[in-house]
Amino acid sequence: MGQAEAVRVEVAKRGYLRAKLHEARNEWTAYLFLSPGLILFFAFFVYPLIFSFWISFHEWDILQPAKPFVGLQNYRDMLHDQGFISSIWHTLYFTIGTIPLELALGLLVAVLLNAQIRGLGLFRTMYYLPVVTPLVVASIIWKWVYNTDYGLANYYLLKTHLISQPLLWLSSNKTAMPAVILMTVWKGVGFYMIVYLAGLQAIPAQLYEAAEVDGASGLKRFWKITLPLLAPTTLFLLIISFIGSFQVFTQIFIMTQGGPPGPGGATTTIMYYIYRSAFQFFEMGYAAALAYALFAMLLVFSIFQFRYYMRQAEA
Amino acid sequence: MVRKMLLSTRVAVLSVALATFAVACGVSNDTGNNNSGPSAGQTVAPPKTDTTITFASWVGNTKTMQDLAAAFHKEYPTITVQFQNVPAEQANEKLLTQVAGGTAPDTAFMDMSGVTDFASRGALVDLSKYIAQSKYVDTSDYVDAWAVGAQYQGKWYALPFDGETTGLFYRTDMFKAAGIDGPPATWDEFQADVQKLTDPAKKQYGFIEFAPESAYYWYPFLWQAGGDLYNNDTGKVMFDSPQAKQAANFYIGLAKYSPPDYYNSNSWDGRVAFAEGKVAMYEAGSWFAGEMQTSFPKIDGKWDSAPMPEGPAGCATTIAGDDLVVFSQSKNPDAAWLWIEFLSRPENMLKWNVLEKGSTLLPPRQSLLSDPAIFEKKPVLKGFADNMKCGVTSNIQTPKWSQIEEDLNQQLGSAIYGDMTPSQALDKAAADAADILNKS
Amino acid sequence: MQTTEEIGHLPPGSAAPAIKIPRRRRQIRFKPGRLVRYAILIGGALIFVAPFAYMLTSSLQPAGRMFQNPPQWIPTHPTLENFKTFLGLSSVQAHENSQANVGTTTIVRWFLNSTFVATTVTLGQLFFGSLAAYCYAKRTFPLRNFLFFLGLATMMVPGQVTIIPTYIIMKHMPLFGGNNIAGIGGHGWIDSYWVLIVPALVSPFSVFLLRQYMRSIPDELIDAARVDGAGEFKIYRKIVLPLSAPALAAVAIFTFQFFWEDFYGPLIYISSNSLTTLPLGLALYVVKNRTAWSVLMSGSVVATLPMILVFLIFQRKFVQGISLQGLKG
Repeated sequence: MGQAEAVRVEVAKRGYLRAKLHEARNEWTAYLFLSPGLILFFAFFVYPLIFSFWISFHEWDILQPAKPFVGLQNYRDMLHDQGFISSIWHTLYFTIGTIPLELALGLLVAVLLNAQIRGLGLFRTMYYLPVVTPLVVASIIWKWVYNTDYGLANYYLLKTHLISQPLLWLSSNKTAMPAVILMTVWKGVGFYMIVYLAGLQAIPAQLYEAAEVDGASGLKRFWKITLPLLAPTTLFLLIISFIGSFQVFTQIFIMTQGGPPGPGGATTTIMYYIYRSAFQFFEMGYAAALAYALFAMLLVFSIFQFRYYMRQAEA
Repeated sequence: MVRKMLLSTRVAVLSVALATFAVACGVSNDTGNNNSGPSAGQTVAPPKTDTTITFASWVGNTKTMQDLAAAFHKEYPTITVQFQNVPAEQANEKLLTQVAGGTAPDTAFMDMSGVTDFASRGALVDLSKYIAQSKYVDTSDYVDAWAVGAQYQGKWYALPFDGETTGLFYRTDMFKAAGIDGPPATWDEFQADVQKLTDPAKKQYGFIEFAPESAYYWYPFLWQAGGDLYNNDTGKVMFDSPQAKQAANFYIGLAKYSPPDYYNSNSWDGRVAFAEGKVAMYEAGSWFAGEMQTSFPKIDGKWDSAPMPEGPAGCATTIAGDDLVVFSQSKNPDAAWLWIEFLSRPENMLKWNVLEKGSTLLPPRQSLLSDPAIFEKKPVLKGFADNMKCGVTSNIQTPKWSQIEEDLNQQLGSAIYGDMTPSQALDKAAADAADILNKS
Repeated sequence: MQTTEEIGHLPPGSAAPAIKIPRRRRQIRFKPGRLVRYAILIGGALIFVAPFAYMLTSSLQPAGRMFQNPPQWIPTHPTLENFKTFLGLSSVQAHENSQANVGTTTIVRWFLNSTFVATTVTLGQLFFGSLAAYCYAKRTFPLRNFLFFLGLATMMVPGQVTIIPTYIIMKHMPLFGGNNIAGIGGHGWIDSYWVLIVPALVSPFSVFLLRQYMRSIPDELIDAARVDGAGEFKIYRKIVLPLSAPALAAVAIFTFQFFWEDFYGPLIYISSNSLTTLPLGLALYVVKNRTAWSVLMSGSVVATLPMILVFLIFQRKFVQGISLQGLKG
């Protein structure tokens, strides 16, 4: 503490105000630092966004040269589009299914690994392995895991008598989405584990020691210290996974193609629906409008989360 | 002249290439072609300066294609073919983006189902004038169904290059065990056979159906019943006709003889069910034969293939294949044409199709299919080749078709799951189609 | 502020991270809880590794033996043939019509392309990202919060709809790829390294992670440097950058991993063989009904190995560099 105090005193002596003045005078340098990033950001993120917003007011067949302006038609169509509406429900189902599981399992593994144990590095790597497996390949493998007759899932579930009849997994309206959710959780937990580990290691050991002296049990310490102090990390993960879940695509594309069919297809998520509109039906205008609807939804949800996070993390 | 003679005797392509190479070296610019009389028509002249054309495909890494490109370059030294490799599953998405961005390749190898989508939007070159002058491409030689698929509004926008038909694969061992002599030849026999072969208690099924591909594998039955998909004159769909409903009732009726756990699978993933003896009959293209031979040698000799059974209106089956196209954005359409014309020569088509070691693809040219010598080494393909004349392609001329078809697929898939009757599914799909068609 | 202990004697220009994140220290003593801990960890790890192990087993078997019931974890007929085929070293050509005829030089080229793109992007993101993050974390200037949130907001836009607009921009990049000053005439950045690298140099996510970490750098330190007359760039280079090393490492791993695996960008923008990256190359093996499975599996193993190594080596830095809670307490 002493030396930090000394620095502070030193600064105070030589004029805290002077430092601030110096910074204010150099405000332009902030823009200078930001400018390369901002130029790229506006050129490659913001401009295409505005462009596609403009597209959303047109009947914009990708190949057809004529792209008539249709005003709000695309947005109006959306309200009556049963397929789109059910894709929202499927997306919510997916989101609500994945996020709590990923958070809980990620935290569990992180807590278990946040101790002096043998093979720590190996364990971490094993849990992280799915994260580095290419998603396309992972999806192909999982399709086989879910095969009713020859897949790993049914084989081991039957063998351990957890089920008595083979599950249909991707072929049933009831199990297709849970199957996709499980695969996604498998792919994601490693990432959550790493971030939680970072969060856990930032919790000062003294807090636990003090609690231990007070005779708090392990579980109590977890509830009273670990969980509350991890709140910013949890919030951050929540936001990130929220954005990710709403944009889920590849595993659906490879594993179920939005099926099984039924009204709207049991695993047709918003992104999959947008993809089909744009690249299978050539309706880029409509797809852009759908994308903006998705954007608006995400923004509404996550802006509150973000504000809350900022308050928590930077209070 | 030299070329024509060689062609008629079908001498290997290399000698053609060498001969032409010699000619090209001796007489630069190949002026002979330009001076030929009006009666012979004007043959497309190769460019005088070095030209590179791009060829988008997912087959650029195959040895055959690379050899063909080398042979082409020998024959036309001013033209170099540059391969653009695109993953097959994403090929259309990429081509769309390229066309939209104005950077389309000169030519492409394209799934024939995409030709209408691109042609109807003006992205492809109308090849009619090239074909009229060509010594190698004779439109009357293409098998009907492929010829139809290459045209849009009566004009040729593509050259069929390879193909396959949908046929019936069956387990000879399971047929024997059930006391059935041979593959079903009619709907009635088919119905009787699936019943005999199905025993859910033993996890054994007579047939296999996939909701995500329900429309595609239903089409043969639709055509066998005498139905059709779309009427170009009235601009209305026809798949809610009585014939269509008859076909749907029959096809969807087979779902109860199919393993329910494969309802949401597809004809690729489902192949294991056939290999493991879970299903006795399998509706698939000739690719299935190659896959069984390579990946499941343990059932060698326990399966065979047959044409699809005949329906009330006779024989009919679905076809698939790849076409060669030239993009309107090409700056060198002539050179691009020369390349796809070169590939379309009978000897080159053969090289790419049946003659290739691992290939189960068929050349969509009548003159080649009628030659029994071609199938000596691949007897399993013979039946598929014979069946090609039963192939049907609906010449559908609406850009909205892919959307209509997707919906039809959804509804039929729901019917397989038993969520609605086959008739309801078709009525719903027809109503949706009317909405889609009215939208623009 | 226990963490600021060492800051006082930080030598200027030192690259050593002076901030130590306190680690929990625990006495090791035997508890039945430890056994439970190991049991859960091992059980879980097996489940998490299983699908990957399946891929590995498949890559070591002939194609016909890939999918069997009961599952075979140890190949009965192990072979390296698939790896040889993938790497272009095989003398046997199982499927002449399959995609397997790629050749060693091409595979090496895919590797080099992926390495080059991922490395360049990573270095670029570290530089541009840390510059921006420093401003967002430690400077005050008009529009700061607006710009920061705008960046975060763009993370929520589905990428598929901006493909075509972005593609058009790339094509009309002035003075590149045969374009004139107005961006007309050529193909611009399409089918070049530029298109894979330049737009990827900024990432709101990286900026965010770096900013969160940089907030833990004490203001006093920066103010002291200012009083000493250090310019902003000098402060960035001599103080902020060295102190942010763990965060830079974390961002580096994330970024490298992401661009090593990136498939969509190369798919849309790259057409030349010589510019093909590894994930795009692997996707070429997937052909409807004709996929060369065993080759694809061995290719995936080869493509994943470098990432596993990177993680094995840098995992501790990785964990240290993610700082989302600030360093209170």
